[in-house]
Amino acid sequence: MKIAVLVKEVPNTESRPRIEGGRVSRDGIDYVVNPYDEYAVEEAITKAEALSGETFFVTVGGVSEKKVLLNVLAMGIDRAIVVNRTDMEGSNPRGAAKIIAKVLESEKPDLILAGKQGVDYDYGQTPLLVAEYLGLPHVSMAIKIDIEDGKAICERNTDDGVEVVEVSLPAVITADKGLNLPRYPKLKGIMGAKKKPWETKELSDLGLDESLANPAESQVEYVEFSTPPARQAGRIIDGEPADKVKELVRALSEDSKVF
Amino acid sequence: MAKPDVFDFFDAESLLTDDQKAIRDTVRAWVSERFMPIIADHFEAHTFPMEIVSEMAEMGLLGPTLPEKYGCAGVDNISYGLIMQELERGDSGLRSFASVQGALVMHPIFTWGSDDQKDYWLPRLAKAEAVGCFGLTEPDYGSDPGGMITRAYPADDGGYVLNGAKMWITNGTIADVAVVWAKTPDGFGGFLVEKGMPGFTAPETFKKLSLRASVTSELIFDNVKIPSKNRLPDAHGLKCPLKCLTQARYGIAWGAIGAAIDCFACAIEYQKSRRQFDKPLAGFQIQQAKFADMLTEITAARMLCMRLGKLKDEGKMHHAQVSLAKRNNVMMALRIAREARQMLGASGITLEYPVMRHMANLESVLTYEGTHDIHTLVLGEAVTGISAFR
Repeated sequence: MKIAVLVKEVPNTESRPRIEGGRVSRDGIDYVVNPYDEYAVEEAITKAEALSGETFFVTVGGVSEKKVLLNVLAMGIDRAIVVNRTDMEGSNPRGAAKIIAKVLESEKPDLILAGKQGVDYDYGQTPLLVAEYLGLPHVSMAIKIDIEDGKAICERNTDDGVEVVEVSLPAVITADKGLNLPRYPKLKGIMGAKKKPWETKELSDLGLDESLANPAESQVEYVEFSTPPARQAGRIIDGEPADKVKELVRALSEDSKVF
Repeated sequence: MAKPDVFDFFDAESLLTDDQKAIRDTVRAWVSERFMPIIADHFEAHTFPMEIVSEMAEMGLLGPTLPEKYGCAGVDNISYGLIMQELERGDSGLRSFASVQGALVMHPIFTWGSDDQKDYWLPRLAKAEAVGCFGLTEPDYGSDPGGMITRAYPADDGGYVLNGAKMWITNGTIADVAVVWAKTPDGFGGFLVEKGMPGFTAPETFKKLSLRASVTSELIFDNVKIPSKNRLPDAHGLKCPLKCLTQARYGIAWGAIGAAIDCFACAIEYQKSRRQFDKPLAGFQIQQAKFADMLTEITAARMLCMRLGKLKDEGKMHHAQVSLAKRNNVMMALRIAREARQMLGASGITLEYPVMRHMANLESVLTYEGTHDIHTLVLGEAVTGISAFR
């Protein structure tokens, strides 16, 4: 069983993004492995252990120091394929999906796992587009995955309860919170990570055109970025209790239109 | 020039390898996410969080410097120190568990044990399938272990009969194996006393106001029959347990930095947000003087450990150097914890904040593994050539 995991580096949630030149600046941002991708990584390692399979991850980026992605190898993924495009961060799920699909075409994994979305721009598109370009079935937001007889039986949360879906492999499955508890890297894993195979590819190595990385390819145009407005100070209503209640009800219904 | 990081003022970071940083960051994340949320309740309940021990073992934090052959990670001594630092940032009880298992149980078995003892115990201890403890201190012999009363007499069957008692033994009650030091007709010896051996009991010590999230016990030996295969064959003389303590003290010198940093960070956060007289507490000169002292002491302690770790990796570390680091760093951490407690005002006395918990713990750390005063005398002897206690 050969398992691919799609991984993305995203800013950690403690980073304070700044807007510069109409885009979100990368300066002063610490990157981490996308938390949803960690569920996919954990699932890949567990499944590979159970089914004596092999695992690799694919990423389009390499935006941060190598140590972020080395962490994925430290957790237990066998090898890395990094398509070196630092200019596509957040801008281009369609281009990224085409690139990843091209990598997977030659790798031919039996199972492709990914986080349900990146917590940077939250498109949630890339893995599903990869499935589309490869002509594979997909299941999104899985909270349980069982592999048997060339099929994956997945559970996903819906508003009405748990849905059970069966797909034939190969397939793309995205991971939701609750799928598993991602492991911490072992000390031995950390020390062995650098010795694992690490392939860096350019678009030309994949026989792809540079224009794929062009923001126009994404078919999304960013009109404007702005930071959320600062929170307004609260208002204290003075007076007798009866008047205060009247004023509160009035303010809630007329000013803030809560009712 | 970039402004220095207050938590790494002299950029010790750039002296670390990528692996060392990754190891530290991983342990730090684990402590923050898995240990911090449960420590206050365990401390209050006077219980050790056994539920996280298997995770520690899984990551390889028990006996991490020992070779892979025994299921260990084989990390260098700076990495080991950083692990201890991060564990003690959580709680001295957590670091104590790892110190005892690694430095005081796995280390002597690895160094003086038979192949059978190593093959049997080390993988089990690394995986936390077995817990170990170390018995040297006795009710009447602490700083002067040479006076110990515990005796191992040769028995007719070639084994030994063990009698005596040990006290203040971390992990004693939960231990599957105790490395016990006893007087023998040929001097001193180390024995592996196993849980369930007739005549061996290990009652827990309660009513502690320090290291509450750690199991402390007495070990009582009443005519315990020890097979000869349970004696550490290569451990002869009192220098062996003292060498174990040097290993453990090395980890404590690093661990104290973790406790100090946690108190320092807590004091900064509290003092910046708490306002009196229309400005943050952190803006008052008395408080800033305290911060300056904390920053200086933590920075110095860290540089001391970085150098000590290098010496240890090069095989050039002398036990008196470890005494200096343990003595300095633990007192440093205790002062900072006490200061931080004050800087949090009344809030500082609760378990909502870590400072008084660290402060109470460090009172034990100051005393165990060679008291502050004994290390003072070790250094006095190093300077003058005259031993004040022998």
